[in-house]
Formats: sequence, C-alpha cells, structure tokens
Amino acid sequence: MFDRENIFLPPTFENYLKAIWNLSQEGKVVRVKDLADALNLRGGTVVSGLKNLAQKGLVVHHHYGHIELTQAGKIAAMEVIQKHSVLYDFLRNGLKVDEKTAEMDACSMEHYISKETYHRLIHFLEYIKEKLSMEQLHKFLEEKVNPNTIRLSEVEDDTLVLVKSIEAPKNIKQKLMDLGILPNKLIFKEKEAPLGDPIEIICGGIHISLGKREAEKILVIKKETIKLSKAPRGNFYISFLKASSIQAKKLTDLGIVPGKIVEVLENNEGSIKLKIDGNILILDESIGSFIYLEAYHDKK
Amino acid sequence: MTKNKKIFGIIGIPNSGKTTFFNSLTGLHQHTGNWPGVTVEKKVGIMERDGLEVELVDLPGILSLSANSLDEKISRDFLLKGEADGFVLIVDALNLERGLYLISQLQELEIPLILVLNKIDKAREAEFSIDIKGLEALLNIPVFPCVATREEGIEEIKRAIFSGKFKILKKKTNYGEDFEKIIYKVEKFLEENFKGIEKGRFFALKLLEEDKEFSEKLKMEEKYPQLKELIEKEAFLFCSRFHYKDLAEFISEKRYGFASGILNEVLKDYSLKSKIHFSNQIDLVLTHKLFGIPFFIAVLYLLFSLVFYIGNPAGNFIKKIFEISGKNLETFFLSLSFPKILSSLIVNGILNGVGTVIQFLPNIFLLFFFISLLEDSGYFTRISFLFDKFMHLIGLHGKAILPMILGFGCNVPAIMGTRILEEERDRILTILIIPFLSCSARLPIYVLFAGIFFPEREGLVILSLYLFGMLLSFISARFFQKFLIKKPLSPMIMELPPYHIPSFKGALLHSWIRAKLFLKKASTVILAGVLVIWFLSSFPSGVEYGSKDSFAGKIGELISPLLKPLGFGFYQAALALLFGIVAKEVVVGTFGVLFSPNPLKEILPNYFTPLSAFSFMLISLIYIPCISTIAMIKREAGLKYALILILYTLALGWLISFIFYQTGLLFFKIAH
Repeated sequence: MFDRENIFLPPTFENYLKAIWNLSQEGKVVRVKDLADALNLRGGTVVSGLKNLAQKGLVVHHHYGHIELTQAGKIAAMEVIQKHSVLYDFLRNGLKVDEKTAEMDACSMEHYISKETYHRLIHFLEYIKEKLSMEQLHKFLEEKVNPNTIRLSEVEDDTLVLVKSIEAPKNIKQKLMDLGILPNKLIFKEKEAPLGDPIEIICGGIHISLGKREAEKILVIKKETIKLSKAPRGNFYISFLKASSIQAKKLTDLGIVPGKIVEVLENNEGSIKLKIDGNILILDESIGSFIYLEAYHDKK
Repeated sequence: MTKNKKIFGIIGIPNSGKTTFFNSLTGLHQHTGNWPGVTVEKKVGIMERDGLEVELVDLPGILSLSANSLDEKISRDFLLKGEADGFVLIVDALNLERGLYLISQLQELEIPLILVLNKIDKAREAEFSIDIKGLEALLNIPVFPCVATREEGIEEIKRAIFSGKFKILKKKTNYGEDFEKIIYKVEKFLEENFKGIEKGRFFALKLLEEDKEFSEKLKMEEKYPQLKELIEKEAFLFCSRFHYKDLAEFISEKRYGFASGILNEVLKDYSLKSKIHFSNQIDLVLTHKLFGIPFFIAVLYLLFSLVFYIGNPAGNFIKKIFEISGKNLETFFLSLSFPKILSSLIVNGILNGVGTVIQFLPNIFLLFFFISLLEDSGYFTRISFLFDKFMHLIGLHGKAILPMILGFGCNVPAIMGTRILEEERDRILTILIIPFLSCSARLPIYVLFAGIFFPEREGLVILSLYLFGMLLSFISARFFQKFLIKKPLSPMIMELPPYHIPSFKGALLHSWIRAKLFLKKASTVILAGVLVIWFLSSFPSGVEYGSKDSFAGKIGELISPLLKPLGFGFYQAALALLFGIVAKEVVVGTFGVLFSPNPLKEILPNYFTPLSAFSFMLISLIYIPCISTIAMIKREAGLKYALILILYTLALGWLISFIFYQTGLLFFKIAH
C-alpha cells in the first residue's frame, strides 16, 4: 500500500486531490470555500487537511487563498481518477452492477486497491471484453444472481408473473410505475399482438400495451398458477384476481383475498363449491376464470 | 362595464371521458389553437352567467405529475403556474383507483379542486355505488357524479363552477414517519437555502423522486451540491434499510396505497352479478392473432368507402354548384357589361378557388365523424397494438397507420388525422411522409397517361406508381429521422381502455369543430394561392386566360428548359405542373384547355413518348403536394416543415424523373 512514492494517503485526502483537480479543470481558481463546498466539509477541516497535503508536497496553498496541485499532486489526482474510471467500468460493464451501486463502490474501492490488483484488473478487463461474449456473461451473471428471473418480453401468453425489478431509464420506469407496474406486484401477461410485438398485460385490472423493448427491461418471476374454474379438489393459495380494482373489491369482500388459502370442494361444470375461512361459497364458472390459484404445500 | 373573468383548468386521466365532458360543458362555445411554441392543441371553452365569464382550459390527459411527454408537461406546467383560479378533475368512476392516484399527487400542490366522477351510469350497470358524501368528507373537496355522454349532472357542475365551490384537498398521503422526516429535511433545506420556491413539499417530493426537470431548475444555484448530497445520502440510507431500488418506487407504492385505501372506504353496494366480461369478449376478436388484422382491413374498407363514396359525390355536387353559379354569374356580368377582368376575378378566381376548397368539406366532416366514433369506442388503441411492429420499421407507432392509409384518399384530411398521435415527433414525421401516398386527385393523371401510352397495361403501371409512392414515403421517413427529426421513437406504453359505445353527439360536435377549422384556416391560404394563379393567368390584361402570353405562360416557358432533361421541355407541361399545385386534378384540366380543341388522346403522343409519359407521372406523384395540403401542413406542423416539404418534394421529384428518364434513354440506346 505504500507504493505511491512511499506515501500513503487516507481516502479523504485522495478526495481532496480529486476535488481540486476537478475544480481546476472547470477553469476556476480554487479557494478553500469552493473546496469545502465540493467536499461538503467545514472550512477549518479543509485548511488543516491542506496543510497536511502541502507537507507531503502535493499541494501549494498560496497566501492569497489560491490552491494549486504540485506536479506530484497532479499525478496522484490523475491516478485516483483513472482508478475510478477503470473500477467503474469493471463494475458496470463487466459485472453489470447497476449504475448507482457501481458509482458508489468505485468511489470506495479506488482508495484501497493495490497497484498490482489494479494493473491486473486493467488487463483482465481488456481480455474479457475482447475474448468473451459480454452478453452471455451478463446473462450468466443474471441467472446466477437472480435465479428464476426472466424478462417480461420472454414470458409466454396467459401467464402470471411477479415483478422483481424495473431496469428501464428513469422516465420510462416512472411511467410504468404510474400505471401500477411496481416491484413486488403481480401482473398478468395476456397475449402478444398478431405481429409479435407489442404485448398486452393486465395490471390492477387495467389492460396495458407494452412494447417488447420496454418489456425487456422488466424482470419478473413466473408463477405456476391454475384458474379456479379449472382447479381440481384440494387446497390452494389465492394468487391473483384478474379483474379491475372495483371487481376485485367485490371478490375480496367475499373473502377471496390474494394470499389466503382456499379449499376447492367440488368443481362441476358451471359452478364451483369452495371453502374459505370456514365459509362455503358457490361461484359461477365465469367468475372462477378470473381467479388464479397457486399450489399449496401442506407442511406437516 | 368590465366583466369578471375567471380561468379554470380541466384535468383528467387519459380515457376518463374528459373531452366529452368538456364538450358537454361548453358546447360550441370553444376555440382551438395551439399551446405557445408547440403544436399540441389547446382547447378553450367560454361560459357566461350573471356577468361572470368563465374560461375553461382543456388540459392534455395525465396519469401523474411526472411529465414524460410534451402533453403531460404542458398540463403540469399549467397546474404549477397558478394562472387558473381552480381545477376540475375528471375521473372515470369505473377506474376510480387511477383517479385517486392522481389526487394523491395533486394534494401536494394545494390547488382548489372540484372532483367529477364521470360514467357514473356504468358504475350503476356494474352494480356498485360510490359513497359520494363519504368521498367528499375524506378528500375535503366537492364531488359531483355525472354522465358526460348524456349530459347528466352537467348543470350542477356548471353551477358549482360559477359559484366557485372549489376547495383544497385535505387528506394527505401517509408516507410513514421515516419518510416524512426526509421530506421535512429537504423541504427545510429548500426553504432556508433557495429563494422563491413555492409548494415546498411538492418540490421536495419531486426531487426525492429524481424528477430531472426539478433538479435542473436548481442546478445553477450555489447550494445545489449540498442539496444533492443531502438527498443522495437520505435516499441511500432509506432504500437500503427498506429494500427499495430508489425512492420513486417507494413513493409510487405509497400513492397506490393511498388510492386503494380510499377506494375501500367509498365503494358500496356491489354485487357479483355484473357484466365484467363484455370488454374481454370483444377483444378476443378484434386483436385475435389471425382475425385481428383482417378485421381491421374490413373496418378500414368501410371507413374508406363511407368517407370517399359519400364524400366525393357530395364534394363534386358542391363543386358543381360553384361551377354552375360561376357560369350563370359570368353571363349575368356579361349582360351587365361588367368589366371582363372583374368578372374573371370573381368567377375564375374567387368562386373557383373557394369551390376547390369547399369540395373537400364533406370528406373532412365524414372522416372526423367516423374517426371520432372509432376513437371513442376504444378501438384506436387496438389498431396501434396490431400494427406497432410493422410501423416500427419506419420509425413510427402503430397508430400512424390510420392517417397514412387515409392519405390514399386525400392528403388533407390525412394530415388533419395525425392529431390522433400523441407525440409531436410522430405527428410531424407522419405529416411529412403522407404526401408521397397517391391521393385520389393524382389518379386522373395516371389514368390519362397510362391509358394513352401503356394500353392494356394501365393497371400495372398505376399500381407501380402507388407502390413507388409508398416506398418513397418509407425511405423519406428514414431520411427525415436521420437528418431532421432526430428524437427517438417514444416508448410503447399505452393503456388499452375498455370498449364502449361511442357518443354520436360527441362525434358530430368533434367533426363540426374540425370542419370549421379547415374552412377558417386553410381557406385563407388556399384562397390566396388561387388568386395568385388567377392573377398570373389573366395578366397582362387582354391575354386569353392561361395562354402562352400570360404571366403564367411566360413562367411556364421559363421553367420548361428545366423540364427538358426529364423528357417534357415544353411550356404546356410546365404550366400543367404549375397549376397542378392548386390541386392535382387541375393538371389534366390544364392540358385539356391548352391543347383544345384537339382531343388529348390524339395530341399527347406528339409531345410525349411512353418513357417521358412515365417520367411525367413520376414527377406528378412526387412534386409539391397541392396548396390545400401545404396549407394544412403549415397549420399542423408549422411553416418550417411546410417549406422543407416543398423544397424536398421538388428536388426529389425532379431528381427521380431525371434519373428515370435518362437511364431509360441510355437503356434504349444500348438496346438499339
């Protein structure tokens, strides 16, 4: 760790150098106040920090308040900035970590990574980018990290899915959320358009047409379900009501609430007899076709 | 006496019946313009009662206050600006949850509101009722049920508007203690460090939601970096503690929580026997994998037939009336020994010009009548669903197929029809490529030339021109996207509203408004154009109308050398093309006049070869669409695009005819 001309700089000081460099790149004359603002520190703290850096010969703090990096300081600043961009590249484009996490992790890793690891990392990146299919790598990573997760665009028709995450850009994500497509919500993939794109989904009882390019950004987990109208006798979880909020309300008031356990007693053509919360209900088949059930595994 | 004047905005979710509601409130007392600087339509209605004038501004539909499209931005800006004295929020009673989601955001704006529950009859049909009193008590604003299509409840709403019953929402979304603390911190920081920020809570929430427009507003401020740091830190801590990817997810979730909480309290008397499957059954056919597209073609065929088979005879009838009255007027003037030039101005200029415009009126009226019915029924969004993939190939959304197909009938209503597209980018792009679709006015030219020069193969020749026009429009779409309209295609996220029976009255009103607009705006430009051509054809005084000695004839002579490399360098062709700008039918008519008394069938082969005839048909297809189309483009997309299109079509038309003719010549030379 002492390999930068045998000077070890604590992370905060590296941030000083980075901030001074960035400010001077903007063409400004750097003063204590600017630096304090950029680092979100008090002026006094910054002054003592600068003193320390000046002793190490990295910074010149002129009497009239003007701060400058020395040649050695510039080199040190550049090194940190370069490390940051390499690490960010590795995290974001190699490991496919999301933007924010990549930025934050790069910010903390840049201070502690050894020269050796850093150099090897640069060549490692070079190698995987050239020799490996990044797409396959990312797919592999995704499958390992989020098992069972697939893209909404790949889900077959007539399937219930649980939204895991939305990876779309901010404005698209917001629009999706405004329509009720939120993480941990159940949505129903109804069908594809005749030409294969877009797809139709049902969310909160509302039908939405979604381009495949947008659906690709939504990661979901498939749910194995069966319609109540087709359920054999036995116990099930109520999973999803494919109905508008108002229709759903009618069902939930009968006790048909997602998450509850229902016992199908009889399923004749046309009507279904079921038991829920100890009450016996008889439902029409057409209503039964809007209620989706999941298998219930009795833990004995 | 100065009148009291108040401004109210009408807001609502798309598909909540907002337009119908607006129409039943204001009736014919509305005028349409554009929002400043953009081509998004702005509708303003005027109501008057007891000396109080009320201006109602119909705002584009919004789902939330996060403005993703231009339309949504306009609505949000209007809500924020504080120009209005209050707002009427219209919500679909069947889709109350969505409305409450919007309300959860409006409360942070602290604006005076009236809530209108539309389609309350549908709620009755679905056998449930909404506890209006309870809803009023919960939200602290007046709530009015109504059925906009039947004007039920409209009078009460009018009264409420005039008596100013607007109130500010009381119930707030409960974001929980932890998050309220964050909101408070940000709000306080804003208050202490930034000047002129009103509605601090709303602003703070928008910043926490990472709404770019709001952070952009503060970017230049001195304290922005600290604010950013504060928000990032709080967001990080909160999200990692409660497992959210970002705060926007949390905020949306809470807003939905608010909506469903209220919904649960106000829904009453529902029964299970309701007709909940009506919409799904229709959809099984209309968007069926196999039948969906054939069904659309059938609908389209019907629409087309009705618009053009009823519209064209009606249009021709109108044109005839103008012609006959023109002739009668001419003889009448002659009997009065009126100055010839004046009678020519009135008959050839004004009457002829106005006739040319008004003959499109039946088409436009019928077109918008049927479009309005279809749009109202919910089928439009399904068309988009059906054809989206195909239209993506040329960089447009599925909906654009409708105006494009109408372009084969007449470009003018087709361009007006692009109003169904929500995004300005899509509208302008569609407008720019419609003129390459052969409208019915170009058909007489094809029929004439193909009949004379390609006997027995007319059908094939005409078909090739139609197909070539389509090809050009697709290529142009790509070309314009590369060089002119660089904004990418907006994402395809669209609600498919339930089907319902469209309102006949609404459709009538809608088409009347469109027809009026067409007459008012377009006729001024068209009339001016027609008068210029009349002037050029009649002067210098004493010349025969449109002859070689007239200004027009001289211009024709001037242009003809340019047309020589295309195979028809004589002044008659130049003049025909020049006059064809008025309306493409005029091309054939001009030849008729210029070559009279010889029948065209005998005289044209002296001037054209089959090769140059095809070249002439090509340029007729491509060069400047008629004045009516140009006027409409100027109205819908602005002068800039109208001029660009004139230059583009002229250059492209000349170039393609040139290449075609010259390669043809070369080919024949080699063959011989």
